[in-house]
Amino acid sequence: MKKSLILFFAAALVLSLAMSIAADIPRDYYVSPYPVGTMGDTFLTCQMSDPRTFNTHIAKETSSTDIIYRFLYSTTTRDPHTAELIPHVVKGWDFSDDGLVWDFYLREGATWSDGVPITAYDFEFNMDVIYDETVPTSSRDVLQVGGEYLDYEVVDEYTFRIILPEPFAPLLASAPGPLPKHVLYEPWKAGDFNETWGVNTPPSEIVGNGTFILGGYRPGERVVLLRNPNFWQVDQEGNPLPYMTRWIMHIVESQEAMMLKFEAGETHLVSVLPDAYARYKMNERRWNMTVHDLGPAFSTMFVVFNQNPNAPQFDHGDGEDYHKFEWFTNIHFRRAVAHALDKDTLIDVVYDGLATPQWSPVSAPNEFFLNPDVPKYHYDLEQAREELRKGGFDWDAQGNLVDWEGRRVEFLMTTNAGNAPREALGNILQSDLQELGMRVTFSPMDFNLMVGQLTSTFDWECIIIGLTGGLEPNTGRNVWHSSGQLHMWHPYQTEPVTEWEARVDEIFYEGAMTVDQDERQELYYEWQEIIATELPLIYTVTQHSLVAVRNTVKNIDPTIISTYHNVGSFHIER
Amino acid sequence: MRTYLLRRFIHVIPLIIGVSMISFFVLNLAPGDYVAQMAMNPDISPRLLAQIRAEFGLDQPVWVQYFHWLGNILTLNFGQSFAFRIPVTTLIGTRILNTLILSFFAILFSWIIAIPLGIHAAIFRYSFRDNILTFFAFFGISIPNFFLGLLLLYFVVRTGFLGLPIGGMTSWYYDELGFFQRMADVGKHLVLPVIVLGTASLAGLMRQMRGQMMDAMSQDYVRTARSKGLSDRVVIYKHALRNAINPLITIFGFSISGLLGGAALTEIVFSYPGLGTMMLEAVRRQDLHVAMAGLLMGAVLLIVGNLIADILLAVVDPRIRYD
Repeated sequence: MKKSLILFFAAALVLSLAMSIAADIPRDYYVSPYPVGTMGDTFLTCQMSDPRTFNTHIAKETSSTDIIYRFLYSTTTRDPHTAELIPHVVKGWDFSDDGLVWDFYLREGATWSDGVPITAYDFEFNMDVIYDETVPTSSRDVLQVGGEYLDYEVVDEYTFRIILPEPFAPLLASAPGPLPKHVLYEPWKAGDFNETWGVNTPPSEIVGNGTFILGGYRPGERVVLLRNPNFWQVDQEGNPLPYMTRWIMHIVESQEAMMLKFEAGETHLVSVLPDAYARYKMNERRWNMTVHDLGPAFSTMFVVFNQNPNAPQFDHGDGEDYHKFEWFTNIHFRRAVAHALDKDTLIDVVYDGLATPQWSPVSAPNEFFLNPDVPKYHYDLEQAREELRKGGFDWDAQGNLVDWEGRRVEFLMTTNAGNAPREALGNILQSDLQELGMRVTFSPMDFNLMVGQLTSTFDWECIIIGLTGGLEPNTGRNVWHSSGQLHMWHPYQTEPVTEWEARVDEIFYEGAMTVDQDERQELYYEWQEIIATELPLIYTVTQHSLVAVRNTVKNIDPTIISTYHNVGSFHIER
Repeated sequence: MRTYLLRRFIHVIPLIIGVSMISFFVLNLAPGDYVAQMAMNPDISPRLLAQIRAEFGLDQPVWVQYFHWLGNILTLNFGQSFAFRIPVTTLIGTRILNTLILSFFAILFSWIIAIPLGIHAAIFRYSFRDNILTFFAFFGISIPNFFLGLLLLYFVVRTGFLGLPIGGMTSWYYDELGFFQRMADVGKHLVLPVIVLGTASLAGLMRQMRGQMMDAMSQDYVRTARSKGLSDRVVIYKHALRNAINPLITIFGFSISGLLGGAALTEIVFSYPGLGTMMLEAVRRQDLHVAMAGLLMGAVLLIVGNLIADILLAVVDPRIRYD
C-alpha cells in the first residue's frame, strides 16, 4: 500500500515535471526519438558542385536540391529504415472513402524560420505557383491526373485539402509542401518568380521551415547553413532542435580531394569510392571513424537495344540496316546478351566487390515494390548459344555468328565517354559477345551526342546507360509507358506495339489509380516480371553506397534512404 | 606612340567580332544544347524542355541567337547564365578576383625564381649546378599540374606539413577573423596551388632565359665589354641581360592572357573558387552566355597582353620605335 502510494507520487511528480517542460512547446511539434545531445557544434561535410539556385521550382540538379531540401521541407518524407511515407511538415492526413478528397493537417504552432506561422495558405500558394505555366517546374507534370490539374482549397488555417478528379496513388509521394507566401507572393505577382532566390540573393532574405536555414554562400567554396531557431522539432526533454549551430558544406569538385579532406580531419563525413573501401576499413581506428556499407543504391545501369522501326537506319523495312531491327526485336537475341553479361567480373573488377547484381527495374532499396522472383539470367555462354540457336542464329565455318540469311551479326555499342563503370561494362560485354561470334564495335561518345541519338535522332544500335531510380514506381512512367519520351527502345508510340507493352501501359494506369498498397505491389510485381522476361532493358549491377563518418558525430544513423534524416539530433562529442 | 596605340585599338574591334562569331558558332556546333542535358531526367517532360528552350531563345536559328547576343554586348549586357539564371557579369564578378590573386602570385613566383636561375645557369653553363637545374626544369615541364597537385595534397595529408589546408581559398571560420588573420588564412591556402601553377611555367622560363643569356654571352659586344676591363657584374647585367631579355617580354605578354583561364585543372584539384572551374563547367554544359563571356575575356586579355609586351619592348630596347 505504502509502496504503491510512493510510486504514485513519484509518477505524478515525473508527469508534472514533464508537463511543465512541455508546456511551452506547441503540442504538434515532432519529438525526435534519438538520445538527448549537446548544443553548439559545427558540422562539416563536402558536396560536389555549386548550387545553381535556391529556388525549389527552378532547381533541376542535385547540387541545388541537396541544399534546398535542408531548409525547405515538404509534406511527406520517407521512413529512413522502411521507406514508408510518413508525415513531415504536416502532422497527418486522411482521405475520403472514394480516395478523391485528401485533407492534410498542419502542425499548429509551427512557424517559418522568421517566426511567421506556417498555414494552409502557404500550401495553396505553392499549388498556385506550380500551376503557373510561366514557371518551369517539373512538379506541374507530376501533379496532373489524366491531363487535368488537381483542385485544392484552404479548409481552415491548419487544414489544406486536395480534390482529385480520379484516384491517384502517387499523390502522397509528390504532395507539394508549403512555400512562404509572405515572402514570395510579391515577386511571383510581379512575374519575377523564376529569378527569385537565385544564388545572388542575400541569405537573410531566404526563409525556410527545415532543420537549417541558409547562412551564407561563397561561390566555389562553401555553403553555410545555420540553425533554424524556429524549427518544429524537439528532443525528448523538450529542447529545441537542431543541436548543431552550423553546417558547413565545402564545395569540392573531385571525390579524391573530398576523401583527402576527410583524411586530413577537415570534415566529419565523406562518401567513399569502392576502391578505397579496404583502406578506409583498415584505418577506422587510426582516423577515429566508421565506414558504413549502406548496400546497393538507387542508381541503375543497363544495356538497351534499339527496337524503334522509325529509326532512320531501319525506316519500317526500307532502311539499309533493317535486319538489325529484326535481331534486336528477337527476344532470344536479347536473352543471349543477358546471359553473356558477366556481372561477377564487373563487380570484382570495377567495384572491388562492392556492388550487387540487379535483375528488375526497381532499385534494391525499394524493398516494398521489389519483386525478388523475376527471371534471372546468370552468366552462361552455353545458355547464350542455346538462346541464339532458338532465335534462328547460327555459326559459319569461322565461328562467326550469322543470322537466318547468313548475314554476320555485328553492331555498334556506345556509352557516354568518361563514365568509368559504363566503359568497363562495355569492354567486358564486348569480349564476351565476341566469344559468341558477334562483332561488336564499342566506342564511347560525348554525353550530349548520345542523348541526342537516344531521344531525337534514334540512329543508334546499342547503348549502355543508367537512370536514377526512386521509391515511387509511377515516377518511371516516362520510361515504361509506351508513349514516354524515355521509353528508350521505342519512344513516342501512339499505340503500344507489342502485347506486353500494352499490358505495362495498363499496369501503370491502374497502378496510379489504386490506393491500396498491397494491390499496387501486386501490379508492379507483374510489371517487373514482364520487363525481366522481355528484356527491353538488360539490367546489370548496382554500386553500393559507402560512407565514412567520424566517431565523434553522435546520433548519426545513415541508411540508404537518407544519411541526414535526423540531422537535427546530430551533435559532436567533445 | 599615341597614333600607334589608336591604330592598334581600331584593329582590335573587327578582331573581337571575328573571335566572337567563330566562338559562338563553334560552341553551337557541339551536339545538343544546355536543355538537352535534362532530357535524361524522367521527371522532366518534353513539354517542359520545349518551354525552357523557348525561354532561353535556344529554339531560334543560330545566327538569330548570335546577332541578338551581339546586340546585347554592344550595350555591355553579357546576358544571363542558363544554369544560374543570374547575369553573367554577376557570376564572373564573384570569382574574378580569386583567380587574379592566384594567377598573380603564380606568375610572380615563377618569374622571380626563373629569371635569376636562368642567368645563373647560363653563367655557369655545363657545371654541376647547371645540370641539377636542368634536371629540375625538365621534371617541372613533364609532370602534369593536376598530378603534382594531388601528390602535394597527399604529402600534406600524410605529414601535416606546416598545417597547410587541403584545398579551398579560405577556412570556414574566415568571416570571424581579423584583417591580418584573413590575409594569413588566404596565404596559407595559396601556398600549394601557387607552387603547382608556378613550377609549370618556371621550368620553361628558366630554360628560355638560360638559352637567350648564353646566346648573348657569346656575342662580340660582350667580349668587347670584357676587354674594356668592365666588371663581370656590369657585363652580365648591363650588356648581356638587356639584350637577352626581349623574347621573355613577349612571353610575359602571352602569360597575361592566361591570367584568368589558365588554371582550371589546378583549381579543380585544390577546389579553388576560381573562374577556370566555372568556365570549364560552362563549356561542358553549354551554358552559352557564360562560355562566350569567358572566351571573349581570354581574347581581350591576349590582345592587351600583346600590347603591353610591345610597349614594354619599346621601353626596354631603345632600338624599337613605333612612330
